[in-house]
Amino acid sequence: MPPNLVFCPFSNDLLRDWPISYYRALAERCLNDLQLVISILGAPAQRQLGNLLVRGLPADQIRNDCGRLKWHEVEKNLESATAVVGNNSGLAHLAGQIGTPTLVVFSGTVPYVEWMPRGPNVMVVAKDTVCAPCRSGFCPYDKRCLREITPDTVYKQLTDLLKYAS
Amino acid sequence: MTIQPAIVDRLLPTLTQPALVVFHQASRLALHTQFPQIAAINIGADAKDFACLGEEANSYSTVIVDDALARINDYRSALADWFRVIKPDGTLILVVPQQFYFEEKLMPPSHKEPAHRRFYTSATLLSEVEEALEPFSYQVVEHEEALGDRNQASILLFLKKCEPPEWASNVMRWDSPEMTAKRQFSQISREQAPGMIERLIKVLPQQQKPQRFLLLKLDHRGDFLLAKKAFELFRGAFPSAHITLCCGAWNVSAAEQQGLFDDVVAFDYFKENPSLGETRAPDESAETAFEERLAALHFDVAIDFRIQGDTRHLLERVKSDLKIGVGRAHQFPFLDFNLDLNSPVYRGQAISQHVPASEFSVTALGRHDGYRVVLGHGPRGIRTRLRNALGRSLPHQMLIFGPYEDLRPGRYLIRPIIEAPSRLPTLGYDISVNRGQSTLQAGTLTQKHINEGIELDLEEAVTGYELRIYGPPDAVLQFYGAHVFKQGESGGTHSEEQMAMLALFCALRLEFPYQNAT
Repeated sequence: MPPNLVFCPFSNDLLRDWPISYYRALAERCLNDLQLVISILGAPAQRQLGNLLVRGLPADQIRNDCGRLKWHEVEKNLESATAVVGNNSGLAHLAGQIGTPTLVVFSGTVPYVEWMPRGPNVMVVAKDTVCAPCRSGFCPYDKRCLREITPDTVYKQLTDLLKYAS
Repeated sequence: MTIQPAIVDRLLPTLTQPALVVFHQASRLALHTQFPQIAAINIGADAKDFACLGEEANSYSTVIVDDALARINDYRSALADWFRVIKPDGTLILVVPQQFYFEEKLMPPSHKEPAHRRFYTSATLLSEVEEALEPFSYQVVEHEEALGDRNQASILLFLKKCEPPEWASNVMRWDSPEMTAKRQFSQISREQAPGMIERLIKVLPQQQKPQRFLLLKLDHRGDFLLAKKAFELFRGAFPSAHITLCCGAWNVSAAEQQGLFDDVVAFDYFKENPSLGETRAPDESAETAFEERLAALHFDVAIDFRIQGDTRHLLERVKSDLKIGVGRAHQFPFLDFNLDLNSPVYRGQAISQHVPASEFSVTALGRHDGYRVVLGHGPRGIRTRLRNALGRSLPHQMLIFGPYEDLRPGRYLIRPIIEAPSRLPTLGYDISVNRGQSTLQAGTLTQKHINEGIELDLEEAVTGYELRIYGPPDAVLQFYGAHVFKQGESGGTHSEEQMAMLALFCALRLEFPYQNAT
């Protein structure tokens, strides 16, 4: 079954990744309230992290597709999805360009104005902290710019985006 | 059906009571009939929807799952439930059909057993196990592919239930702690972090694409001609848009010849020939006249194509949904989108480098936040506590030092970025090379130095230059690194290129228009 919702939770930089526990909470909320089928996309090396997201959740409703798909299949999944949720990452850029409604949780490492994914249906949420943009390889504040964007906030923005896209 | 003796023989020695066989009535091997002495649970005729076994946790020493997994959609919940009923050190044995030898197909559906929803190789079976079961909760103790009889070709996977080691929790931290403690900055808890602006930024897509544009180009003839390429690019980006150009009357005919604009509005904001003595600067009346000239028009987007910023404020007098121009956001806060060309030229010097605070160190009296150094904001009594902790008197001076970089010969301005809450404390500085061995210059660090920079002439290249800033231990300031300017550095873009960049900037920015909301 093609996914309704694609999560792209992994970038090449841990500082850009919204916490996995938050993605997990968002996934549970989406499964409960929206009855969407979710696919987790990522590279083979990110498969174990993807397992953290899906473990204990119904296999027929949320899939860990990290490392399972060829690139053209990834594109197809992103294209057919109702919406995509991701970080500042390659897959989010791809989803934005394809035109799929894409919600990006953007960290403060670089300015969102300069690096956010572009496309007709891209929504970005970011926290404007005083230490951003840090352009740093390390964070003494426990990724506060991302941690303070809660799963509830992202869920609300996602439902707004779904309404907008429909 | 005669079961491959290999499979039954393989399973027999592993059976430890109490044991359970989970099967489906159509299970190929019907192992429950082979082991009548042990309990068996039929997962039901329609097995696709997983149902809990209903058994107590930790009930069985052995659970054999015979050809059931492939029939269940929610394999993750099924595996977790079967694993749940096993005692510690017990074994879960999964028996699944092998894809190539039994199903004889590359992908579902199965033509031998339509209820098989997924095909298994050893890798895909292990993949499902890894998804379903917590790492450290099990070990794969044996694995075998019994492929002799194609109708019974199976994979057997033996999983032993384990207690996680004590250190497992160090591995199973979800949220990637690896990025901390990479560098020597003081670690600061979230509670101690500087005050955050509690503002959520939302960038929302907009469906309406702009169609009515106003381009301002109030410059003189030469500058206007240099904008030709930019206007061509702009028209190419918005071929069906309605574009109004507002320019000096002296440029109207050139504009019409270009054939790129739907309307041309003449407005003389500047004088045509300032070199002939027409030097009066535009005043309020000129701005009012400009506003009146365009009062009847409403635009989706107004763009000022003049590079210099002295016409930018006119955009405030235009009725337009979006306003765009060259410059920095803080210079022109009324712009919706600003193209920050970030010219390397600053007061006649070229910015060679921004050296962030992270490249500097600070002595014990200061706090290093990574992106800045903070002095004088410690809690009351910090000096006493520090003195007690160190067991000796504190240094009489605070000191910021760094960045130990190489400089080529030339004339430099080094501008420390320092903010003080009120008056700048009395500070000294010196610039040295070779780790402080040779001092090139020293003196009092004044507000002029902070505004304009410390001049430094280098006749020869130096290695590892060091800027040191020192002052009284009670100095209150924040230090954000330094800007380094080098005279004569070039590399700026031509104004024709800058205007072309502005045209392309508009084209790309407005291709997928968005708005900010907080």
